[in-house]
Amino acid sequence: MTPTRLPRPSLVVLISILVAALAVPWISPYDYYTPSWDELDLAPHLASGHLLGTDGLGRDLLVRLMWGCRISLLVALLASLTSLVIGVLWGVTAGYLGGRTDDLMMRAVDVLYSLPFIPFVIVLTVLFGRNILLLFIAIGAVSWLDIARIVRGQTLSLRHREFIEAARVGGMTSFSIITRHLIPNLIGIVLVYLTLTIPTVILIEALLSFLGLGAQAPLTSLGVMIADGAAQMQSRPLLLICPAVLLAVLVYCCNRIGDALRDASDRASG
Amino acid sequence: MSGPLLLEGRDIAVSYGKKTAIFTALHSVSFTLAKGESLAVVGESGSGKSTLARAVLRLVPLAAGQVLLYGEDLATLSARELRQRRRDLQLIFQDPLASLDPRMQVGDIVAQPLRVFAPQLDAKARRDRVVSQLESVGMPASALARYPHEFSGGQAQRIGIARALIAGPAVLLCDEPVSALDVSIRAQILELLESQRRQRDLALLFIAHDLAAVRFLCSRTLVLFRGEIMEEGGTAALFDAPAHPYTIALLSAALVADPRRVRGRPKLPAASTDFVASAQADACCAYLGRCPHAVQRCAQEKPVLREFAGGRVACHRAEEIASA
Amino acid sequence: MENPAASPLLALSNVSVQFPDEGGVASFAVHNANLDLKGGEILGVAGESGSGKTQLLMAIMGLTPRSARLSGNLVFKGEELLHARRQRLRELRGNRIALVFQDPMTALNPYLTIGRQMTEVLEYHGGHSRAAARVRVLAMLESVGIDNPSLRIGQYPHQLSGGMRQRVMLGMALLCEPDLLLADEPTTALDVTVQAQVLDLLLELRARLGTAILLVTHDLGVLARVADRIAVMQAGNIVEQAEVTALFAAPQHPYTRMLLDSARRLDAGSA
Repeated sequence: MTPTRLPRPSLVVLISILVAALAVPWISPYDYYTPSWDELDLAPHLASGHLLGTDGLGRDLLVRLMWGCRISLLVALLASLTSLVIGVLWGVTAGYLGGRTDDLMMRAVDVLYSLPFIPFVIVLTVLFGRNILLLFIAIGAVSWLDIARIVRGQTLSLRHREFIEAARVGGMTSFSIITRHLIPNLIGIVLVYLTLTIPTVILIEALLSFLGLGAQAPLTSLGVMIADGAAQMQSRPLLLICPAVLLAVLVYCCNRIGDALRDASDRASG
Repeated sequence: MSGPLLLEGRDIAVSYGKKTAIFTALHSVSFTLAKGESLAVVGESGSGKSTLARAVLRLVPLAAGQVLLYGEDLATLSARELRQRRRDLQLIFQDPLASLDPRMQVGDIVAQPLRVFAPQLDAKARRDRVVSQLESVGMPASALARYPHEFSGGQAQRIGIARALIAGPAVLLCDEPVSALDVSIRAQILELLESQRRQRDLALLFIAHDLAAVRFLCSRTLVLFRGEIMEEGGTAALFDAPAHPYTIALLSAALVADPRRVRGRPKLPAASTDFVASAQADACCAYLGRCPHAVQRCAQEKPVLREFAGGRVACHRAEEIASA
Repeated sequence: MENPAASPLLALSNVSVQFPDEGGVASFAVHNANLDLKGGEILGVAGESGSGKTQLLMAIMGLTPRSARLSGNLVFKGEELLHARRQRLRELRGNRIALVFQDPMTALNPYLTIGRQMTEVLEYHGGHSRAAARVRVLAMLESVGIDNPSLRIGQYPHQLSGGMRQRVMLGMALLCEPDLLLADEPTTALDVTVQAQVLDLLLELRARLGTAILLVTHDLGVLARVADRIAVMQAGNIVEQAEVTALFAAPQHPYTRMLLDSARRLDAGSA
């Protein structure tokens, strides 16, 4: 599955954002949490190094933006990977073993699907307090359901292919067939799914943070910044526009790349 | 050319579905296979021949009957013991490219049985065995690091054969191994199978609908129709003097690359309607709807597989047909 | 004035089908094909996979993929087809030139009844009413040997066996009594006894309707049985053309000889 036609603009933009998110906090003289009482609410001002200005507490907007980006992406990545591991193992086992086991496992998925997400997160918050770790557990706990279903479906169709039959004839145990034959053949679809989950998770995280259920101050995420910016929309529009635009661009790029990967893997599998 | 009894099937029955919608793919099929012997199982689609291979390999559950390997009933074995016995029962597939894991390198694919059945070998010993096995089927050592999709159908089948033979099985089941291949390649693969059979004293269970391949490779033939044995016997005798109407139809319908033999031949005789069909499917001959020789007895009494002219046949009228 | 019976029904002159490669280099699926087919004749095209035989058929029907570049001359009943307008090709397809595919399961629409698919052809090409079309479809099903046509006409493809589906395909192809029938491996997926019946049917239909048939297959036995003449294709080129008994008795081209040898090696051998 060689990506011969990856969307270059999206890739370039995404990589630039990633590089900036990593580099800017290092390069800029300002950090993201120290209030600066004599630099409150500044407009973008090249000379002082505040390229996008400062927020209500005098913190440099650009640096906070990049930090917010880091946190959003970090949560997205961790939550996606967790959901991936759980979802793939669940789905491939249910799909390969079939029968009663499959029924039970997928009924469990159905039950979890019907859980209302926001109230669930609120309950977790009440029990464990506001915590970035909590955030990614909550998101991960919900997103694995989709991938479990997809992986199970794919496993069901792979299960009857001749090379799996050949493995059984070759004396392999179910466990080794799953690990050595099924999972490598699922990676393609899983990877594509991952690139499409990440933007979804970023948005969920933004939503939760916007509602006040996510990252705690002074840590910030794009969602938190959007929430803060929305409150000051009239007086300081930049505080809302910058994180909102960045969020939109990130999600768009991830989606574009995910689409291209899916097209490429569709082509490869014929 | 027969040695001790290697593989035996006794009254194998396989059915699919539950309760009301049961489809019986095989009804009480029995066969024997001795060391070094080659047995062909011939039939059209729906005859149950592929199901028979899978039943023998225990890939599908048996509704009745037994499969005995070296006299041991495979159903009495634990899962682990069964896996170990698989060393002696290997399979090559109809679609060679589909039988190879597209994500694995050829070297790993062929080495897989060694990992299972000869775990004591180290990586280098395994690699050497894989290379020598590939060479014995006519594939270069350079194939080791390549992927299945880089090869043609014929080459992929050679790889499949290498994989099947690497752990030294006693029995090789072949599920229509050449029907998906070009004509010029078919002969090569069949010759490869024949030479491997002779070298290793392999027993072959060859499933086919291509009669030419069967004649080339197998000394005995079993003819299946809708899950039942119609006729069984030495291949040459069967081809020269078929006893069962279905075998006769198969042979007369078969085409060869010789216009003098196939042009202007008469059409296949139409099915006989000289009977009143009974309601019970079990009480009549499986071939009833297509047989040009059917009489009332055929609709009331299922013929039993019996000795006839050096082989076995399941037909009430075999003697009359043969003398006509 | 030329005697219409003497001029060929279909004439290909230097027909080529080219596909541009990934790197921009063009490769020929069919290269300089020259073929004649007279009315009522059965011409067999023999070749293995990759010989270009399917692309040749597609070119005649105007069904090559968009990226393909066609060149040469293709004349059907005096009309040049290779560069004809799509509308004209649509008028001809199913009407004067019909095509039968290898796998009837994928060629038939699984969601429509047999009857509906067949009446559709007549409605499109003949402007028949549904009722009139149905009468003709029933007659056609009967003549291709489908038992109980009034029951089958309401059935779906999956309810029929492989042999019956292929007969339905043939029936569909012949509804408008075409002058030319193109068949791509029509019996390869069928059992030997069913194959015999379908081939018998083709011969009978040729005798009754005078349809010319261009039969593409890798199976030399099939060609030995039904073809009047045979063209052998290798890697896009027609390497030999001859009358059937002549080709089998005395093949000229080394590739033809190799094909015949392989086929005969199996026919003759015994364990």
